[in-house]
Amino acid sequence: MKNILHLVHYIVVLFVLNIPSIENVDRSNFKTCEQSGFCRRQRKYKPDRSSYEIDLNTIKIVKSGHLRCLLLDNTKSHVKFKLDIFTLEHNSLRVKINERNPIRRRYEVKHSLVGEPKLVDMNITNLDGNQIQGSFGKAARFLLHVKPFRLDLFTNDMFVMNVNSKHLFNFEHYRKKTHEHATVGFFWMNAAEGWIDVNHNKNLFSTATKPITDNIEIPEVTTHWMFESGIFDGFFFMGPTPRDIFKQYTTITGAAPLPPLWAIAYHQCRWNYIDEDDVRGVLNGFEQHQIPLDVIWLDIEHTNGKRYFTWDLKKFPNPEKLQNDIAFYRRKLVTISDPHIKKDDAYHIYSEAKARGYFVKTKDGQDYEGSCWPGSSMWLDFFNPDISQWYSQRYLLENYKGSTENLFLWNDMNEPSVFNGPEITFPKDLVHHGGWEDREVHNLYGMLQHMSTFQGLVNRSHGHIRPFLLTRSFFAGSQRTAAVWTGDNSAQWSHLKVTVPMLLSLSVTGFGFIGADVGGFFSNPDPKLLVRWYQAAAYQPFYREHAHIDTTRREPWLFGNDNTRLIRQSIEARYTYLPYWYTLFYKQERQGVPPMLPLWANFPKDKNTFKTEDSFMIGNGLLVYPVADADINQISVYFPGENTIWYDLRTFNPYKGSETVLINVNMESIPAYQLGGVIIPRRLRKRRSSMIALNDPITLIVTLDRYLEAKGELYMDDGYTYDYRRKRQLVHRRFIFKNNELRSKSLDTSSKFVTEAWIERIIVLGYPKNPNKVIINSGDKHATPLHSYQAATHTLVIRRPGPLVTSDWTLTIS
Amino acid sequence: MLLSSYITSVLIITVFATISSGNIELTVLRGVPSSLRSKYAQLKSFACLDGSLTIPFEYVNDDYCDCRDGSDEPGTSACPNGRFFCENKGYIGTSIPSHLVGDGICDCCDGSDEYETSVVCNNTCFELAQKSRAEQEARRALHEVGVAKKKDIMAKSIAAVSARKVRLLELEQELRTIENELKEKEALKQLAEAPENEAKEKHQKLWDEQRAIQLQKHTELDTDQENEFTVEEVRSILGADSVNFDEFNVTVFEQISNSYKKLPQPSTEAAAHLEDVTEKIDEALKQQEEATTTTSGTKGDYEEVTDHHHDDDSHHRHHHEDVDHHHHDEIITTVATSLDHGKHIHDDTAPEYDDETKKLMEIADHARNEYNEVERKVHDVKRQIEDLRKQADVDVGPHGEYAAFMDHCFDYDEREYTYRVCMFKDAKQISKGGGSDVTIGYWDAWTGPSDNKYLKMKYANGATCWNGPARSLTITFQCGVDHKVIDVREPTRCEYAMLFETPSACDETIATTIVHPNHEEF
Repeated sequence: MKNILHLVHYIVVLFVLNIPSIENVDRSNFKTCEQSGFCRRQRKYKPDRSSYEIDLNTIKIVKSGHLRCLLLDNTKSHVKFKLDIFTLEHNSLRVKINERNPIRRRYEVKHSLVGEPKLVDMNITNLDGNQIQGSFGKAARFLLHVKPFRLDLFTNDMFVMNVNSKHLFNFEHYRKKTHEHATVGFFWMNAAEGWIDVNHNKNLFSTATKPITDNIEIPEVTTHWMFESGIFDGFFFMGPTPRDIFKQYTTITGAAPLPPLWAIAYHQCRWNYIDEDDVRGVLNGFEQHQIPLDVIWLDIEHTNGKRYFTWDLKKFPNPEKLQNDIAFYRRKLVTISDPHIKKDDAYHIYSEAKARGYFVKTKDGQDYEGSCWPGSSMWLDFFNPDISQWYSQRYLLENYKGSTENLFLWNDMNEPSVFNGPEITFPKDLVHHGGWEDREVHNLYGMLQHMSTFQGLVNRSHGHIRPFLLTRSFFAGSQRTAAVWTGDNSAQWSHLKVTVPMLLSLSVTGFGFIGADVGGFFSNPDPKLLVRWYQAAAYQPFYREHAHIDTTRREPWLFGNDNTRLIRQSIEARYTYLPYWYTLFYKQERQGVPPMLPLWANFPKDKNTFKTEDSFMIGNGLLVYPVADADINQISVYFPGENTIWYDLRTFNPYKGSETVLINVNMESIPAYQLGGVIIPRRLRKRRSSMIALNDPITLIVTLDRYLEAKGELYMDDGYTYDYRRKRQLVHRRFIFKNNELRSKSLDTSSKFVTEAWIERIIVLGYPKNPNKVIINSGDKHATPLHSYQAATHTLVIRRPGPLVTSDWTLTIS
Repeated sequence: MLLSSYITSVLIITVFATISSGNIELTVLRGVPSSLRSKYAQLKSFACLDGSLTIPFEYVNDDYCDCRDGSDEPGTSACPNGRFFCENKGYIGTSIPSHLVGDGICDCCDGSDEYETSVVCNNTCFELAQKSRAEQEARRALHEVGVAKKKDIMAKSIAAVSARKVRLLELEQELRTIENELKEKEALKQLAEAPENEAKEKHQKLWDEQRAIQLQKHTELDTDQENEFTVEEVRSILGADSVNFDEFNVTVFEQISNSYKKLPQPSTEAAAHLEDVTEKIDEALKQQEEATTTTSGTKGDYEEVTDHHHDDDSHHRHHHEDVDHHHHDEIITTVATSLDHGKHIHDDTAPEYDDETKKLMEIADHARNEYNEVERKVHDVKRQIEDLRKQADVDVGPHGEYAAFMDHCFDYDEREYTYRVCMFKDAKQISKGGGSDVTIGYWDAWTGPSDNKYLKMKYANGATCWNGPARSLTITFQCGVDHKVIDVREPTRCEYAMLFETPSACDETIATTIVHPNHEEF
């Protein structure tokens, strides 16, 4: 248990291209550490004592919050390194180590950070000639050991992690098991090929380097980072809470912005909807079966021979008309646009890019040619700002023929995928803009493509309409411009199960807008699996059904009436929670907290949550246990937190925290529980699409904690423009239930937004007795709404309280 | 849904309050179809239509969902599962889901679903009615024309079925006759083959003996005197391990040719035997001739039938059999006359048969040929019977509506491929680029829904897709004037869908339903 405790508590913020799904990836396509020369060498390199020392004479404060000194390797080469320590706002620290006079210049990652991180002053004390201490912020402190070099980090005087000097790229992280519980994070900014060995072993470093002298057994995680090139550039986030880490990390790399409302609703995709008739047929299916839908997608076959920005006009003779028809129900179309450009002089994108010299070059300066969907292809060099800009302009309505403002984008294959390349990608010696070899910058390529696409979409509406785009490849910072999905999964129960840990890994590393293909991309799910997947994904951030071209059709109504009903119910459930999701996405933009969270993010003191991978939370209020096994009629649910109460939203049954309960399930079940003490806004009315429901009334679900209190928030805006930022047209309400009163007040008094949306119903769970009277006051108006009470479940329902969502009001129960 | 779970139990105790509203008539009964008006009588209370709850009547259409079945809110969007009735004056009244009420989209042609929104809905009921009438009339006219053709098909089918029955009876009769004939021919064949075999055996025996004698006579070749011609002996004759053909001809053959003697003449015994056989067969033939006069005319019919037989497959098979027979004859001849295969130094070829044996063989050959001919006829007739029975087994609709499809193929040209369906047989995808054809299915079954089985047919178990299932094709029929493929697509990999127009799918009820030009209610 202890091992696991610190594993989860310690967040390694690392970025790997396209986190592979467990069984689908052919591992033989990729190198192992043993096959990689530098990795093999680094792994073997284990000196007894580090040879790195700080040259005390060189220590200087460059400016407030920035300390610099030289780091010497006293054994072999006498190479000199520059060591830069930056103390940052929000309890964070950055360490950069680079050669002072490199033979070959080293790449420093660009594009990943929002900007230069803000420095805070550090207070330096030279302790005993062998240690330098710097304190900064509220309660953060670093201790720099001179000989051998080592850096220890403390928050609130508690040791949290260190950088040790076994050799330059060897780190050790320790955490003391305490009752205060601190969460720490580390972000390693490097775009080259890398390997990370992670060990969690209590005894591994139990002697010489132990920074704390007490004899308490210390659970520890050690990680060994081995990268082919670039510099040492590490950020240390010292928490102490998980939410602090989210804030600290997103302060540096940026938070995922609020997506358009429709983008967090339901998406229907397939490789491929064949033609306009097919698309219309599918849309009709949703109408006929009364299943809400917001977005329909077109994969690669919609293009003229995989020439992106074109249409196969035999199949899609009138794409504008198609998009207008889709938009009639305020729905959207997403088309795919990959970074490989078909080698064809008659293709305008190719010929123009070719003429301008816009393609990535081989080491001999020739345009690199590889193979992908269209056959022989070339790749745009997004590292050149001119090329990125040119590419972004391809998305303007006048350049992307057949596109309208209702069309949004999908960037796939952008690792990039090269069918005949080494490890199915670019050769490492390709040369990008600035003369950088691909080996230095490889992992940035996908992000640069989708950042450029994003910019194109912003410019398309002159900065008025929020873009939506989905990417498969990503890097730290990708969250600022794109949603991410977990790539090509398969229709297997194990793949449904693994969506939870995969999405949680992405979540805690800043990617809040994430999802996995519902049903599994490859092969055909049996109806039960499909239904369970729809149910699970209804409670995950990005909700899209997608399937491979070789699979049989799986639109929701193709599996008999019962399954159609179950799938409809899942999608309807998603739509009822959209006001809550949207509020959480807004909070992510503001505070960096992702909407989907591991249990420990909300209950960092509950050790039982540290290893949880079968359930997750949405915000701080909703606990979800998706059923991910074929034939079970019972699941074991752990309710986290001491003294908490959890309410089953189907039966209204309450459950006590810190207990594990066996819950009966059938095919209707989507086990979801609302935490006592939380107020969740929902929309129980049904509509065809989310945008149509924009002004529909809200139901507040109030679940009381043991003090009979609860609170929650609601955020609303027009659902698709930047007016919430530019004109402050938004509603952000705070609801507080306390002392038999429910109040609604604005969290953003400078905002203004006009909506007819009103509060149609308030359901209070855990209310102890049938009240005599309910009164609502709003300004000088007051009313006495009807109420009803069910003693068996302690449920109070207030019927039509009626205030506008935008108004201040107080509801008093007596 | 959350909503329904609390409604069931919660709203029993309710505090009554007055709801002020303007025009009760207009708002309260909004969305209620006339057929249900009686259930919405404006009394003190309203019972949800599913009987789950009784609520004050003021709760009806008050924009708050009380009933589990949504029946208290037919005129608002408050319930996720309610129904709103559009009156659609001038057109057909329709019931739509109540969540479409007030969503900013005009769903009713009279716009009544958008009474509460700022959206202006044009009343399109009149145009819709006109358009609908025009469409219905066009549809009716199409079905009328189609049904006429369909009746023709059905009539022809009935005729074809009875013709087939007659034909079947005839064929069965013929089969019996020629099977008898076959038996007779077989007897004759055996009669002729017995003496032939005897003569041949005798001939063979004689030859065997002579070979032994010959070798004995030519002791100059058999140098070791063991009555065997060994490799060493050959070497001594040739003077080498091998010689070429010219050398052999010029020197070796010259040297040994004189050693060979002529074969003996046939005996007189054999000649007498021949006469005997000829006599016996003549007699048998005479008897058979008498028998065949009773079934005269069979042959003519037979020819007529084969003329009708244009089925590719059977044609093909005929052809193959002919070829096989031919080959068989040739092989026999080759063996009998072979003298020129100089692979052995021994000339193993038997000498020619004597005239009498030859005569016997001729007679036997004749008997065999006659037998084979009749046997072929039997095969043919059997196949015809089988084909007819197969045809009779094909389900061409309860009244033969789809009988016209029998033995017909239809093509559809697409960008890359031509799709060809041969009805009740198979379907193919023919590459225009010159690749090989791919069978996308063999006739399987009618697969329409239980109330309309003949709406769809399926061709299954076609060529297997790479890494995937066997291809299949489903044809959906719709009424049309001609038999014609309208569309082929592949909605799912390897599962093809064809849309097919045919008079066979036209509906008499539709054809005869008169569309009243000025009728307002449908």
